[in-house]
Amino acid sequence: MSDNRNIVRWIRSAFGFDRQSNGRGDPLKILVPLVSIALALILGMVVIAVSGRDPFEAYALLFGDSGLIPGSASWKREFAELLLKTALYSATGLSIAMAFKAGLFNIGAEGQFWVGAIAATFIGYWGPFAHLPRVIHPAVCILFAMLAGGCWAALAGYLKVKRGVNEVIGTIMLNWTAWFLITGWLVLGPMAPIATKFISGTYYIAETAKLTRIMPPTRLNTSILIALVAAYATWFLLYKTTIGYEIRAIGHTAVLGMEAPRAQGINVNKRIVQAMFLAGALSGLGGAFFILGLQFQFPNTAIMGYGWTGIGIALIGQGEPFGVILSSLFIAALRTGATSMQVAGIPKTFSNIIEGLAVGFIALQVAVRFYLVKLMERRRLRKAAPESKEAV
Amino acid sequence: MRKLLSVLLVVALVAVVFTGCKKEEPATAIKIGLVTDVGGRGDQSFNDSAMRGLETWAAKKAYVQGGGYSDLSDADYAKSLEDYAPDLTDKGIVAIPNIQPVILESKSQEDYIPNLTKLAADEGCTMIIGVGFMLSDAVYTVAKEYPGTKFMLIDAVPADPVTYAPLPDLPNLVCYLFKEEQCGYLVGAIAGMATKTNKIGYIGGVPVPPVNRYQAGFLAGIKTTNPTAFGKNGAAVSQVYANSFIDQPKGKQIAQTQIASGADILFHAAGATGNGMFEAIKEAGGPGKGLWGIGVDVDMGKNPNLYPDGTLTCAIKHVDYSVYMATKSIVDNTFTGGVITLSLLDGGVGWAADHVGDVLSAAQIAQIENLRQMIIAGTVTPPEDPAPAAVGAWVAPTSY
Repeated sequence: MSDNRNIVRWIRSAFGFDRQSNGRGDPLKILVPLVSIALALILGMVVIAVSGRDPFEAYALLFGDSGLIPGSASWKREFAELLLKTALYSATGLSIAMAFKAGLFNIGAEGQFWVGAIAATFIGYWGPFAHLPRVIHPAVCILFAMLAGGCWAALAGYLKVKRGVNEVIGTIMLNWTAWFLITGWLVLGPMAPIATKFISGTYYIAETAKLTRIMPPTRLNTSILIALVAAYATWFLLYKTTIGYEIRAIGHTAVLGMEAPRAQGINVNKRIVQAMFLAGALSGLGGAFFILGLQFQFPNTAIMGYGWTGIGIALIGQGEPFGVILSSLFIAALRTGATSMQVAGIPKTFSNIIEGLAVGFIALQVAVRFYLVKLMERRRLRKAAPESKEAV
Repeated sequence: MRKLLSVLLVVALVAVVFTGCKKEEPATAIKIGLVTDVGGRGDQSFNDSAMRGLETWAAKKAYVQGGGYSDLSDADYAKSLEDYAPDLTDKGIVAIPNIQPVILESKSQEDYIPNLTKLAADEGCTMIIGVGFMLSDAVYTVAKEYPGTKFMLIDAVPADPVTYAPLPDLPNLVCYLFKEEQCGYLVGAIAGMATKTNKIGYIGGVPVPPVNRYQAGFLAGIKTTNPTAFGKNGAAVSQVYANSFIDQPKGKQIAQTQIASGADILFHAAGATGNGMFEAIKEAGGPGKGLWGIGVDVDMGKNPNLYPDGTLTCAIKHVDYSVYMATKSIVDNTFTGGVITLSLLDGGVGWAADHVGDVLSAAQIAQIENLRQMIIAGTVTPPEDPAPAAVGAWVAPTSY
C-alpha cells in the first residue's frame, strides 16, 4: 500500500506536482517537452517530405519497429532492444540531471562512462573476483564501476571548489584524460591478452559477471530494472534527504553565488563534490551496463557518445529522474526504429534529425514556454471575460 | 496556424498507429543482407568496398544518394570494374541476376546484433555479410542462432572469449581473411625505393589484427629495399596509431607531425582517419615538394574526393571481390563454411600503379614485380607481427 503511494508521489513530484518538491505544481514541466517533441516530429515530416519520400510511411516504419507498439512478429526482440538502449541512455541522462540539480553542467559524463566501463571490465575478468557467484559478481562490478566513475567526476568537483576550475573545463579535460588512458594504454597494454592474432581489446569478462537475461531468447537483461531503481534512488536522494535538499538549494542559487545556502550553514564545497560524485557514479553505472550486458569486453574500436546523448536526454527530461526515464525511452525508440527505415531506403540519419530537432526545441524552451504561457493566459482571459465585463 | 498544427499532429499520430504494411518484393529475388561497421557508407574505403562487391558487381545496381536503388548501365558497370578491378580481369566478374541487396548501417556497436538479427529473422536474407573485424562476436552469435541462414564475416575469425583460440567452424559461416602483409610488403618496398629523405611514416587506425598485418608487411618491405630508412628494428620509421578509424583531424595532425620531422612518404592503414593524411600532404605541397601518400584497401588514386595527384600507390585488399565471390557461391550452390584466406596468389590483395611510374625507374618496378612473384612462389614470406623484435628478426631477401 505504502509502495503504491510512493509511486504516485514519485510520479507527481517527478513532474513538479509535489508540494514538497517544488512549492507548487507546474504543468509546463510536462507540456514543454511534449510540445517540443511534437514540433520535432512535425518538422521531421516536412524534412522527409521535402526529400521526396512519404513521411507517413517513414514514421510507420520508425515507430512500428521501435518496440513501442506491440503486435508484429518482431516486436518482442525490438522491445528488448528498446529497453536495453533505454537503460544505457538513462544512466548518463540521470548523471547530467543530478549535476543540473546542483547547478553544475557535467559535460564529463562521457569520460565517467568510459572509466566505469573499464572498471567493470577489470573486476569482471580479474582473477581474485572471477569465481564470485552469479548474482554477486555483476553487483561487485557495478559497485566498482560506480565508484570509479564517481571518483573521476569528484576530481572535477574538487578542482572546482579548491582551485576554482569551472566544472565544464575540468570535466572536458578529464574526458580526454580518460580516453587516452583507456584507448591508448589500458586496452592495448595491461588489460589486453597476449594472444592477439584473432582478437583485439581487453580480456572478456567471466560468464558469472554478465547481467542476467530476463526475457530469453532476446538479450534483454536486468540493466533496465537497475536503471529504474537508480532513477528512484536519485529522486529519493534529491527530494527526501537533507543532502538532496542542500544540493537543490545550491542549484537554485548557483547563478547568485550560492550566498543563501552558505548563510544557512550549508557546506557548499562539500555538497558540490558530493553532487559530482553521485553524477559520476550514475555515468559509471551506464559504463557497467555497456560492458556487463552488451560487449563483455572493452573493445579497442569502441565508439562511445553515450555521455553526449545523456545531455539531450536530461534536457528533454527537464532534469527530473522520471522525466529522464521517459526521454530515454523516446530516444531509444527513435534509434531502435531507425534500422527499419533503412530497409525501406530511408537513411538512418532521419532519426538523428528528429532527435536533433527535439533537443533543439527543448533548447528553445524559453520560447516554447513563453508561447504556452501566452496561450494559457489568453484562454483564461477568454473564460474570465464575461465576468469581468459585468464587473465593469 | 495553431489549428493547422494540431490537425497535422493528430494526422501524424493516427498514421503512426494505423499503418504498418510493408512493400513486398518479388519472391524470386535472392536477398543478400549486409551490415556495415560504424564506418558506414561513404568511408571511401573498407565499407564502400564491400558494398561495391554486393551492390555494383553482384546486383548491378546503383545506390541512389539518400536511399534506394536504380539499375546500373552496362557502361557504368564496365567503368567500375575498370577503376577498381584492373587486376581481376581474368576472374570473369559479371552481374548475377536476381540479387537484391539489403544494407543496414550501424550507428554504434550495440546495433550489430539487432541489425544482423533483423536481416535474418524479418527480411529473410539468404546470406548476411558482416563487414569488419568489429562484427566478429556479433556475427558468430547470430549465425549460431540462425543455422538456416548463411553468413559471411570479413576480416575476422571468431575467437573463444576464454582461450582466444579460433572457435570451431560453423557450417553456415564463412570467414574471409586477407594476407594484408603481402600487399603491405609491396607498397613498403615501393616506399623504400621512393623516399629521398630516408624517412617514412606509417599511420595506423586501431591496432586490430588486419591493421597489424599491414604494418608488419610495410616495415618488412622497407627493410628489403632501404635498410637505412628501416633503421634498427624499424626504429627509423615513424609509426603512430590514431586509435580511431573515423578521426580525420587526428590523421591529419599525425601526418603533419611526420612531414615536419622530414618524412616524405606516408602510408596509412586507418580507414577514414587516413583521409586526413592526404589532406596534410596536399596542404604541405604534395609531389611538388617530394611528398607522396600511399592509400589502403582500395585504389584511392582513383578517388577524386581524396588526392589522386599525390597518391603514389595503394595497398589493395579486394573486399569487394570477396563479397562478390561469397554471393556467387550462394547462386552456384557452392557455399561451404570455414575460413578462406585471399592472397596475391588469387588476386585478393595487390598494389595499384597510380604514380609509381613517375617516381620509380622501370628497373625498380621490375624488382617490385619480382618480389611479388617471389611471394606468390613462397620464397618470400612477409611477417604478420609488427612488434619491433619480430620485424627486426625477420630476414629480408638481399640485393634489392
